[in-house]
Amino acid sequence: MPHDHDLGGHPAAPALPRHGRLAYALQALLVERGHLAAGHLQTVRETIAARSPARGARVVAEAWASPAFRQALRDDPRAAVASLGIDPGPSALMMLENTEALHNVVVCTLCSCYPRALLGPPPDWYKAVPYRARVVRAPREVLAEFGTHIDPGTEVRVHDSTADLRYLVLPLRPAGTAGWTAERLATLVTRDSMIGVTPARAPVAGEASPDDAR
Amino acid sequence: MADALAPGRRVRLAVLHGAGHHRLPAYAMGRCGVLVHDCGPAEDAEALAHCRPPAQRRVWRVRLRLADLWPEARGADSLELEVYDNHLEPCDAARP
Repeated sequence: MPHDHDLGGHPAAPALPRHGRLAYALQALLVERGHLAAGHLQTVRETIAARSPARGARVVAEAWASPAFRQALRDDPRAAVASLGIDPGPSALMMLENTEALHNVVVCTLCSCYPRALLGPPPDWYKAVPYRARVVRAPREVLAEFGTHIDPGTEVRVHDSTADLRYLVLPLRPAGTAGWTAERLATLVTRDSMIGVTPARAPVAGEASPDDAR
Repeated sequence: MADALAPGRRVRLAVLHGAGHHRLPAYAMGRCGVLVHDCGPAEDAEALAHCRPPAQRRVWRVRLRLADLWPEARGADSLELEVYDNHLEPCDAARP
């Protein structure tokens, strides 16, 4: 292989650090030797880029709007997610339902396991050591730093994603959303609320429905 | 103890020694908790990480009280994690 091997035609390639240049060189070699179709990695990148918290938000909003869908999520989360036309990803999935008595929060202390199929790539703080080390030891303190104050009578349960499952928190449906469609409810579901570090967004003044039902 | 595993059973999480790919966080090793959910069969990720043929395991969700993990913890707050069944021991076994 010549020393000036094509780096996959990526315009940013020369500016990449050593490991980045190695990755592009490896990609070019794999394509050259016929182990990888030329457009395959671009397809993978586009698949990854299409994943965002909007997918998880649709799942949560549907669960708020439809008791039948919520039950389906409990029984077979992957099938329920797929029934919305959303790819549930390669891993087993579990819904963690918040209630007035129980608040769930997710971490991966060993690495950074995360429901990427439903939330996209994890935020940097989720992968950083301080969150991972502290949320399993002092979850209320960490939640308070996110502005989330859990009632002392509510149990906080930390879920450490250590083996084969991925977790999505089903936050409490905000008050003032009676009669909202799933599409409208989805606008209240934030990424952080599906990790469990914040509640779902409350409707702002003028947005809320007068009668409060969950 | 794979045959005896059932929801509600109290178990101790193994203490794993030495270098390697362990899927059991050190803070939970040797601690007791309760089996809450059988997540079904799974290939042993610890073997896969070393390119060894993976044994078939079962994954269990185990619930521990934070108060059983940390000296300063109070109240009913809890933690759940997934554990391969070969890392589960009877809770009455002597601490290694």
